[in-house]
Amino acid sequence: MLDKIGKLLLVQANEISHVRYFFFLFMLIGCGMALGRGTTDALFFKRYGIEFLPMMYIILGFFLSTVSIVYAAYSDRISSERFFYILFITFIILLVGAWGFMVFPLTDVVYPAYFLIYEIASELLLVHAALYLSQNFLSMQSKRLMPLIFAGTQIGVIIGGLFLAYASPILGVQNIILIWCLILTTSMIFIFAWHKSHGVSPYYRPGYTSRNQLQQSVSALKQGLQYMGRSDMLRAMSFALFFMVITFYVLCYSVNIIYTKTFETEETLSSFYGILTAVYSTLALLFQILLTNRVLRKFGIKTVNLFFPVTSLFSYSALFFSFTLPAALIGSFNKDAIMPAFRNPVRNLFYTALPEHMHGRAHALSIAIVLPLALMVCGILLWIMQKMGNHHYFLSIGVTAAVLYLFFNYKMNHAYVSEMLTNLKDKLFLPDKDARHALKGAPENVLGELKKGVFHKDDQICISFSKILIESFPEAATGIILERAKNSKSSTKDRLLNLLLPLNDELLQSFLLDSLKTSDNHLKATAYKILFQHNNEKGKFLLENALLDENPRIIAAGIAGVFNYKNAKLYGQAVERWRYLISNNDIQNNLAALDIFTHIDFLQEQKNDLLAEYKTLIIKLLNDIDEHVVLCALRILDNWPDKQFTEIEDKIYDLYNSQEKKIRLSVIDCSNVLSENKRDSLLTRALEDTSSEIRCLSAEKLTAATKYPIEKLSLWLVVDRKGSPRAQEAILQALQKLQPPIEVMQRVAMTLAQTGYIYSRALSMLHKYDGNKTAPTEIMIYSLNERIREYVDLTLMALENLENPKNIKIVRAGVKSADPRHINRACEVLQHMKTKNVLEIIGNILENITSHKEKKNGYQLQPFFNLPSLLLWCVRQNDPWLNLCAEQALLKGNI
Amino acid sequence: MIDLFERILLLKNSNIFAQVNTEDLRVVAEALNVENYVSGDRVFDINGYGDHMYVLYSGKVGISTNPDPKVLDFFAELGPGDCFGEMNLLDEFPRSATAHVIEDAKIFSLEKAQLRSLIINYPELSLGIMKSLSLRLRDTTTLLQNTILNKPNIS
Repeated sequence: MLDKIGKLLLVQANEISHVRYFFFLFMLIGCGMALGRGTTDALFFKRYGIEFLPMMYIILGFFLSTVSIVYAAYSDRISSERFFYILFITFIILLVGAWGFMVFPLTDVVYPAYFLIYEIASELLLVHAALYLSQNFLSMQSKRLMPLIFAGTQIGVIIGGLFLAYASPILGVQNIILIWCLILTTSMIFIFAWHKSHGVSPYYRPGYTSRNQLQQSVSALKQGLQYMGRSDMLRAMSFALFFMVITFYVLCYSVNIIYTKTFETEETLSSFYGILTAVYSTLALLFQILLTNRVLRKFGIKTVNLFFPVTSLFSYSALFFSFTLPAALIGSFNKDAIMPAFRNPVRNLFYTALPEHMHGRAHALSIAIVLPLALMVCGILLWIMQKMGNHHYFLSIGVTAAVLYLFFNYKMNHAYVSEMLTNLKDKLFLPDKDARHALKGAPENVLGELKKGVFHKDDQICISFSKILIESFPEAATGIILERAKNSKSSTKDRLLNLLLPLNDELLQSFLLDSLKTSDNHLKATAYKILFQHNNEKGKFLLENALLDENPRIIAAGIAGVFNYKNAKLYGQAVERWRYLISNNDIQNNLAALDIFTHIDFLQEQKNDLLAEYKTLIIKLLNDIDEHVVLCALRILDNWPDKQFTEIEDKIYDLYNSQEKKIRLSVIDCSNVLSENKRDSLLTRALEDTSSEIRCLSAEKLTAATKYPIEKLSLWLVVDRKGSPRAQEAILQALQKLQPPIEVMQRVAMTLAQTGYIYSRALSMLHKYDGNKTAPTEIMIYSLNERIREYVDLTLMALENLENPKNIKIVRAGVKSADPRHINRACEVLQHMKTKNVLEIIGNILENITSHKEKKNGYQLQPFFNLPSLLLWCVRQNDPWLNLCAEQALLKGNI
Repeated sequence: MIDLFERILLLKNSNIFAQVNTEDLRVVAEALNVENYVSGDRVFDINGYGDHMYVLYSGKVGISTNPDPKVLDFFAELGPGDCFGEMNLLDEFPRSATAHVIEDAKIFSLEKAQLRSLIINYPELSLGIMKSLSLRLRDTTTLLQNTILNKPNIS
């Protein structure tokens, strides 16, 4: 049967013997726990008195805290099986001792002592069992096999409960302790026999042995506390646990008072506890198998998280109205069946939202501080309230705690998604803001590092660092950059000076004035240009010098300066010089003239007169063999005053074939000079360019060319579905900038998600094809895989207009990371967003990608039924690459 | 003439180009030149300067670091889909090994200038190259261990 269950739960063949061993070991431990629980309660309540239970909570709180810290400090020094021997032997000795004192009674203190032994044993054995598992299975294995192995514990509890119910009246309650000892001994022999044949636990790594183990445990707790200060979720989780413990123990106390009164002898009470444990553990097991996952899927983790606090409030209501056996049974059902079935799994899921390195610290914080503290507070409050003589007083503590528990669970829900997003962001190293802005206000040593970068011998690195320096330390930037500029080549010097332009610093101005004395004409031209642009006081006296210079760039700077200073006296001379430059046979002169043409209003006013010679010149420049000249000509066309320039249409169209990205970009930039048909055809083609900059510019130009851009772009995405995902990405970005209505973006997102889903169905069909796969078919598989990921990303991008864009950006990065852990976390975040219909499809696609399992979930839009129809469908799509792949697959695939 | 799609598939299955989108690999596939070698040929010699990297389409190539390029002392044997010669394009040092053709081979070559331009346009290529160098480093570590330290694989 176990083998069948194993297959059902995906236990691999080589794991069966391991799983069988762990299942029976955990069953033994569970059985022992059930015996311990029943006998402890019966003996303590009947022989010592339930009125001392609050006091026991206070003492237990203190002991649990100490024992947990000591356990954490020493548990990794030896392998977990050897630590098990120590625990088993210690508990056996203590239990036999306790039994001895019960049989030969010397003192009543043995009962509270036995109570403490049980409570500590149950806590330690469960925690250590989890560690033992982790030392014998890899984490992924452990996650897969844990439900099956822990089901062994539940079955053990049921068996133990039934045994207790029938054996305690026959054997006597105190003698059951010896049975528990026997079970512990059997477990020890079982472990010993297993490790004799299998060796030490395979994933045991001895911890670092030092004298400061305890100190390390304490510092881990401190780190947990510090993280609690930063994390809203851990804070809410800790408060929720605190009030949950009070809710739980007050409920235990209340129901135990009723049971102790109802069942007169310790044998009947023990027997009753046995039946209660067996029944409720069976129910808990059935809930876990049949309900927990379904409820979690249907209502989500946040709703299920509120379930146990609400049922606890119901239990307290029942006890408030009737402090009798039925109400006590409801209370026990709540704590023994509902809690393990719903509260415990949900809490574990919440832990996964915390960063992985904090899991251990958060657990330590719970076990060593929050739980004991809550127990002590609970004990003190019960101790005070029980003196009031009425059960309503201590029930009111439970009700208050349950209300606060509900409140903090609600807070936990609130913090859950943001905690996951924060961790995803940290894991993926996503900055809060642009790195350049992040440096603002940075310490002085950062300035030193930036300075080193500016003085780097590689000019490109120097330029990049200069940009960051200007952004983060504007007051210090000019001096440093000018120092570097002094020894740089002309083009770099030019770029550096232009970078400093916005600062308009006095230091820069004096540097520029000094530069006019050099023989470097390139630098001089730049200096004139910047001085004139900033209306420098001294600059106005230099206009004539510039106009009369022989260097075309300096003349052009002078002409621009005349109009900038509005020096009407020199207008005539400036126009004359401009005519000289443009009519000259030297291309550099022509370029200099054209470069300033569109920026000077005075010349623009005369454009009709100048147009004829201007056009001829542009045609000449565009046909030049020097790419730099062509580029300059294209840049001039960007500011072309007339809408169309039909004479150069073919040339421009042809230039788009250039390998140089700068040329292609400039071609798109000046596409407005083309006729409508040519322009649209060029822009549509450019949407498939390898450069994202060119694709985005094309989409912007298409937007600018239409009267109804939102309609045009959304139709492109929803109805026409033109182009590859990268083309659609550019269109989508342009659409997003227009801030379209929500309904439009919902339709766009839905269409993109549906396309991704259909591609995932197509991929699944291709995977199943068992015929001979030719190269195009193989490429189809790769391409469809890529397309699915691209459409998921596009859908998420579209959701930036419907959800919090920052959160969507983090989710996108998580999905793109290709790391299954990050993808799972991103999926979990998506489940808690608003656009449910779209996200459901995306969730299904992502689950298919990560688990390689097909999930249809009732969404059927598949337009193909076999491989040929799939390929034909791909041929009919507007995706050029996929069309080609499908065509080739059809041609060469023998399909 | 080797079909474009077969070239793309070959590249997609290689270490260096596996991370690049198939659509973009088309550009790389079109830039490849096919070269035919017979058994006994050498694709390049140790300490020589080269400006090509290679992707093996068919046949077998043995890599030897012996200072004498004629000595057939292979530390690695490459088969279809394996890339070689790319290190030289990145570090600009002379070739660190000799590539001997063991079985008649069809080899695609890619020019240095083309590879660089492709890396600029498709940054994923650099990831692939890093991956391949990392694998090489692992192999070297293993080899060093097995030959000098005589210990099992530490990686």
